Amino acid sequence: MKLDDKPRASLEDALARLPQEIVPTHDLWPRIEAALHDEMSARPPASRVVFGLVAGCLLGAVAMSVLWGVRAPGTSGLLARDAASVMAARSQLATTYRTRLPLLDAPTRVRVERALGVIQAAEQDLAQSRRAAPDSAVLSRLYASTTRQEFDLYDAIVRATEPFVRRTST
Amino acid sequence: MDGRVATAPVSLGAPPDPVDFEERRLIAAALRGDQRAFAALYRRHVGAIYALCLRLTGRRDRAEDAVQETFLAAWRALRTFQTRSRLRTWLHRIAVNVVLQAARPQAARLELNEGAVGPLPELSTPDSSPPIDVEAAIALLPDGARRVLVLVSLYGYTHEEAATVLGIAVGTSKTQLHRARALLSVRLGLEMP
Repeated sequence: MKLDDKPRASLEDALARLPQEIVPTHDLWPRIEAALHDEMSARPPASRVVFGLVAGCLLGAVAMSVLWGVRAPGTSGLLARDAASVMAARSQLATTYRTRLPLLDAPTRVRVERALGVIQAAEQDLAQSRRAAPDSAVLSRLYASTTRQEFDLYDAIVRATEPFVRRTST
Repeated sequence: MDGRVATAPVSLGAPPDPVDFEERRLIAAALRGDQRAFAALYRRHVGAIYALCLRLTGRRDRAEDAVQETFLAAWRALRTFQTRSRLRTWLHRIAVNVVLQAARPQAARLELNEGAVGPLPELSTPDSSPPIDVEAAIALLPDGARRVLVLVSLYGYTHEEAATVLGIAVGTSKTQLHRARALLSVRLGLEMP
């Protein structure tokens, strides 16, 4: 060990022991809430914002239709077919998941069901938010990754409980 | 040959993190304008963000201001939050920017005063004095040295990342870290006899 290794190590230990979180000496939320309130009341009314967005979208749609004429044929049909096949695959996976769930031991089953409950609650909440703000990219991403998590959970259980053939020599 | 169907041992790996999904629900609600959901997000992360701000500023009042600004900025920019990163990481980046923006008027002076390696300030404590708290010792460091130490040694930034965020040269970042460690070692009585 070099002479200066010891203090360095001790310093690193001291730094590593510092807590990840420090609670402020008093609650800062009331200040933040007041500032948020001020900001919200300074904003234009939501109806005006919505009207502006709708008007903007309409203008955009008119401009697009003038520029491009008729939309490319068949695109929406393809998308609809893709979405339908994904939904069908997911539904089938969910059915298999439900038949396999009893194969899990009780504590695992409880954990899985609890996790699925949380995922589905988040999904419902996000779906509700998307109905209110269908153009929100953040909500779309959150919703997509949440449904993907649900799919992955079904998949993990189905794979983990996959029956196999045990061969014996007798 | 006998074929029997058996069930494979179940190994699920890491289960989905319920906290993550609860956070998604809160984000979704906050995006709908629900301030109570945003308050819940604040309560989840204020400890980590306050710790970061306190360590970067070295002062409680500035840290509190920075926390407030961080969460206000987060509320305004929540729609731009990329779900690839975790909310805490995103808030962390905002907080670093808020602290550094607040300190920007002093930045040039700090760079001039602290860029070069000068003599260490008098920080050594007499043997009879009580042990010094590490947080307090960090707060007493010069601003430039403290920021590099906090970002690199506590929050895992590389020197390149710290230099970019702080607007200094990589070499300066390394020098500041060396200086911060030397000062801290002296302050905490960790130097070799």
